[in-house]
Amino acid sequence: MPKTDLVRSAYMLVALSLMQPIYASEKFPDYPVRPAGDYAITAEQAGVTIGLQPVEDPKEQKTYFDTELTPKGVIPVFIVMQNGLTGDSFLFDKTKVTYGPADSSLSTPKMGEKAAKGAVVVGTASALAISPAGMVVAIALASKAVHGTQVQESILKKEMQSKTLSPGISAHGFLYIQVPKKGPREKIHLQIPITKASTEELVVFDLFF
Amino acid sequence: MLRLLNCSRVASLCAVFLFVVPVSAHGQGATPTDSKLNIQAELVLTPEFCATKYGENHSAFKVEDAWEVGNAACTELEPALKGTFSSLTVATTPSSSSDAELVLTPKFVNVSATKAVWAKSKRELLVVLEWTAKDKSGKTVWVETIQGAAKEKEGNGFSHTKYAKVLSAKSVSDAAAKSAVAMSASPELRKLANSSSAIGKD
Repeated sequence: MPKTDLVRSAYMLVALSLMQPIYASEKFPDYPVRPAGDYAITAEQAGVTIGLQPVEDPKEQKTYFDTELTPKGVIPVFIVMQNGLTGDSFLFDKTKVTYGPADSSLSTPKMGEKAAKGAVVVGTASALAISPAGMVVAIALASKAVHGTQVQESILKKEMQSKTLSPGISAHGFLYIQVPKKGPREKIHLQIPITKASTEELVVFDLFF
Repeated sequence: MLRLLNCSRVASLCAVFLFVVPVSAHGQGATPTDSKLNIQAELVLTPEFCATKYGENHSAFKVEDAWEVGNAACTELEPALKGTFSSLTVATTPSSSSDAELVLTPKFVNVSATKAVWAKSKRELLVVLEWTAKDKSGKTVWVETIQGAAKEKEGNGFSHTKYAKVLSAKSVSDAAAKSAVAMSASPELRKLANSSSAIGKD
């Protein structure tokens, strides 16, 4: 009888040692990318198109992040930015992105103003800077979920980061927006300023969803 | 007999390829040394950047992870980027009097690590490194965010800290290598290199 228990224990150990690598190699699928102009919410200026898709369905969030973010007060918003020009590059600085309720007045950077003069205002009291504050919130909340650190890493990997939009190039990723945990959310005004690299002119995109 | 010998030779050749091919594809294939940018670049590694650390040190009372990515970056970045530019100097502060045509400033955005159940199981560390490149006039010409990742053993109570340091170094090294590739492939930096060459010829 004790011999059988020993064999069972051995089987359990083997099974556990196999389980860990499977768990470790778990991957969350990437969100499907379409051309920026194909999204329901889109804006085009100065040859650059930005399309966005808020991923609000908890089932979809579970698929792509292995956790439901809306009940935790976070909405992941998928952004695609496409530079349609052939000669000019644009600089996207994640820290310059702002959001707030649609009826609030975000401190709007003036179009065409030189970025180097510090024209970009991060936001008013009603507008929260997305990053790093939003990201920290998203990560902290996601960490509480099962497999927290893997969820956290997945959120970080998929985040839209600062980058150069070279001619003809597109970039994509998620911005994480903090919303109330309960009740219907207000319409959100998302403001994305980008800078034309050659002239340092600001191009400001206002998106509502 | 001869056939048997040939078969074994083929098998051993295949075995050699199995080991050689992945190493060359990962380690050497992507190095940008063959397409050096003709720019005098300056890499700014401030003491604050070199001291960048996420988390807390592991102690006897608490299982913590300290990711000393700044320390690793200040060792790894210069050798990784040296082959990308015709000249690369390192400065500890951004200087306006420098002769550099391009000033490269790195900044860590975040890190994230998975956890492993067993001491010998491997876990992954992801580091997010942001680059800002400015020309001589101070104008930003290029920004890019690079993700570097590596896997290493979790380690037990005694080796945990050692493996955390090794993992930090490996992840940063990956980010450094990817940074070199990104810089080398950047149309904006290539344009700057071409304009610098043209001025040099004039």
